[in-house]
Amino acid sequence: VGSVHGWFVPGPEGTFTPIIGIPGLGLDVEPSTMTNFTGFTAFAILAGQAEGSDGKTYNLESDLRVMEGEYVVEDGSHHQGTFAFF
Amino acid sequence: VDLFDPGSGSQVRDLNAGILPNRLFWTAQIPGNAFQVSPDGLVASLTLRAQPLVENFTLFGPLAIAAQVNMDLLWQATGAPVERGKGATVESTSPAAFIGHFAEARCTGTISGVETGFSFKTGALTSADFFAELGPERNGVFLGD
Repeated sequence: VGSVHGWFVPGPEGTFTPIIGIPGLGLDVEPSTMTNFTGFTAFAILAGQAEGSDGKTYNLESDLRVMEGEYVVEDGSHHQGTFAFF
Repeated sequence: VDLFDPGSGSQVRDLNAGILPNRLFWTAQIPGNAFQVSPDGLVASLTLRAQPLVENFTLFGPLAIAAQVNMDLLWQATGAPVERGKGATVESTSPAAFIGHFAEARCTGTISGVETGFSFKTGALTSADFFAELGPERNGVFLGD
C-alpha cells in the first residue's frame, strides 16, 4: 500500500474534537490516509458513551476514515481495495 | 477508538490498526463488502464484524494486545458536494495535496469491542459535535489524471 499521507484532522478551523480536543485544520485537509489513491472516502469524528464489561461508563471518541478505490503499491502495480483508518 | 474515564478524563483504551513496517499507519484493509456507497455518493455505510485491531491502552502506548471491533455506521450528506484540496499546486506532503468533491455529512452508529478481560458497547455515536464528510478524491500519481 502507498505510504502514509499523514494524520491531519479535517474540520472547520477554530473547532476542536469533543473529547480529545484535536483542532480542525480546515476543509482543504485530505481525509484519506493513503497516498497514490483514487476512490471514495468517508471521514467522521464520532463521539458518545460506551458501557464497559466492568460496569463503568466511558466517553468515546473515534477518528474513523474509510477509503475504497484504486491504489499503487511500492512496486508500482495498481490494486483495488477497501481500507479503514481506526 | 479511544475510551476515556469520564471522571479523570484519562484515556483508558486505545484501539487502532497498528503501524506496519511499510509505514501504513493505523490503517487496515477491510472486506470490500463492508463499505457501501449509494449511487449518488451521498450516503455510505460501514458494517464490520470482528475486525482485528490492536489495543495500546493509551496513545502510542508500549503495551499491545489483540482486540476486535464491530461497527455499524451510516454517513448521510447534509449538503451538496464541493471541491476540496489544492492538488499538485502544493507540496506532495501537504494535507491539501489532493482533489476531492466532498459533501459535509452526519455520521451515526454504534461500535462494540472485545479484548482479553474487557468488552464495551456504545450507545448512539454521532459526528454532530465535530465534523464528517464523504466523497470521491484522488492524490499522488492520480493528480495528473
